[in-house]
Amino acid sequence: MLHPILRHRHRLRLYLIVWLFFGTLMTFTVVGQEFALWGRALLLILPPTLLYSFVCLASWYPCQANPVPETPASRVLVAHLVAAGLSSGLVLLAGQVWVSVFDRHEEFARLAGLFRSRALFFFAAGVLVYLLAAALHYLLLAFEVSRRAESRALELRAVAREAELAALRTQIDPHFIFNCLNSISSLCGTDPPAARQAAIRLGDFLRSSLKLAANKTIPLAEEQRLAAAYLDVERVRFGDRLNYDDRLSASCLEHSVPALVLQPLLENALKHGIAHLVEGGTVRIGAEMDGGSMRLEVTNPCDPDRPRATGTGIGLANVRNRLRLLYDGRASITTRDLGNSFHVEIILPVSEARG
Amino acid sequence: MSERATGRKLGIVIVDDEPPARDLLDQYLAGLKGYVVLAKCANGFEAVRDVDKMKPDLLLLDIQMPKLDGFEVLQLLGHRPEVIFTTAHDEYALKAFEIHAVDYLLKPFTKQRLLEALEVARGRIERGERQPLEDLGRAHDARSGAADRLLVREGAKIHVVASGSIDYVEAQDDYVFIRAGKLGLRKKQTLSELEKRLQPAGFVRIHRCYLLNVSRLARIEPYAKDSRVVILRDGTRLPVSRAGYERLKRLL
Repeated sequence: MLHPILRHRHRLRLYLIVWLFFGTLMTFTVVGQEFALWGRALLLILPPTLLYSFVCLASWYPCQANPVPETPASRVLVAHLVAAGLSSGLVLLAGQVWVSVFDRHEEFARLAGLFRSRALFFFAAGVLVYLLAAALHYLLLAFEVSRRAESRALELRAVAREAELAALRTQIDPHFIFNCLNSISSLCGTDPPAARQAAIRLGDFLRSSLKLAANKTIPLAEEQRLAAAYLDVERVRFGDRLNYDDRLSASCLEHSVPALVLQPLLENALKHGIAHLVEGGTVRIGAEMDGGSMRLEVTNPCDPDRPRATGTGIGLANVRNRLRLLYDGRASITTRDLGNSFHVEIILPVSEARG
Repeated sequence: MSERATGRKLGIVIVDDEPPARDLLDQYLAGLKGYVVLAKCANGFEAVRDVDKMKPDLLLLDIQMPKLDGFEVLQLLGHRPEVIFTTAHDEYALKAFEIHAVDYLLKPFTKQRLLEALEVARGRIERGERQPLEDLGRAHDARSGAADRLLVREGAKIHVVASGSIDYVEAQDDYVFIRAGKLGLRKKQTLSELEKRLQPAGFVRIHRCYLLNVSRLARIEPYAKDSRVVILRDGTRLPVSRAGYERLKRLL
């Protein structure tokens, strides 16, 4: 990991300003209000102070090597006290060398004496400031860790949502494909051109439905074409028993809907409706604008005596979950069972579903 | 595929709700000398009617159909043909072999595969290995779990009775008598079998001879020393045995 202060220019600037302030404070402790001495005193103090500021930055490395709370507190304490003592001592030594450079000039002689007499005080201040820097580093480290955990959690949530959507979308009933292939197999004998037509339609439908991404929304007009393709394929096996009627208001066609939102509803309409009716019936699809939202409807006739225990609900639960993930509670789906007909109604917000 | 010259022609009834699926079986069977298609049915009701009328040797049967599913059709038959299932669903295979079906063909299947199944059926028929009609009683329906409806055949008429509409069932010799409001129906089945299927739907055996829909219960009254009767919402009184009372208490 890069050093958190060196990595950001503005943090380094702030850090150095704090140290300049500290250096000034140290100067004050030496010369007090003898303003005549300040210029020279600053010249003696600031360079070692700045050197020390960079030495303190190095405390980042022992901090990283001894992360809290994983490392025992005693070890953390000893490691940093040793590092603080060494750092402070070495820089103090360097400071003495720096001061001795000016020693020969008469006007510095008194100041140099003052500094030498305060060596112990400088050492103690150095140790204290070093420990403060270490504490700051620990703080930054904890901040970094929590920020990473947070971004990873967000990332994970996005991935999970993506996977959930993908799982929800690709649930086309495989029996639909098997039955359709059986019909094509039959047509090969009785009506080869129709067999070819059916194979092409099935291919078209599967291609367009498999390539649509999970979180994709498409214009209703395109969804209408997909629905028609699906019902065309199903008409091969249901024959005259299956009719459909779509009344989609022109104002809805350009608005976006979740790709293949109608397909599971149509599949249900056939499986639980038309398939149980000896004479078959008509599946109706409707769409109209209702204020700021779009109302989509699928209606099918059904046999009131039909068996109820067949696995209803997977397709519906699927659509419901997709709507929840895509629109976050702003879309709804409701069903009504009127005995001899079944209605599904979806309300979608349009403004944000656009595009 | 060689056919046995000695074999007599076997009568076949085709049952499938999809026209192309019926046509396909027709195509596969066309030109086979040993077989003749007696009827083609598009739903369960037609199948029950035609099988009993035509008495075919062999039934080619789809499972998912309007009105009655394939297993429900078998349950209602008075004649026992050999059965070959033809379906896109693989999940009913186990059930199919429980009732000794000859074979289970998964759509789409080849002519070869159908011919193999037909040969097995012919073998069974020519060896005289007729399956008993009774094992079809176990056919129930393709769905699992609680029975949501019962099928009762009265001559040519088939009653579909929703489990929830049944008040109680009474054992009568080899039959059960089903009471559902004004409707009273006799069905050839044992009360224990019915109990197994209706128990999850809220029925309890209150007596050796009675199975009660608990939702119809109004109150329980003492009758004589150590015995009780239940009074139904419509006033009907049914006896409760001591074991039946324990079962009822546990449920309430």
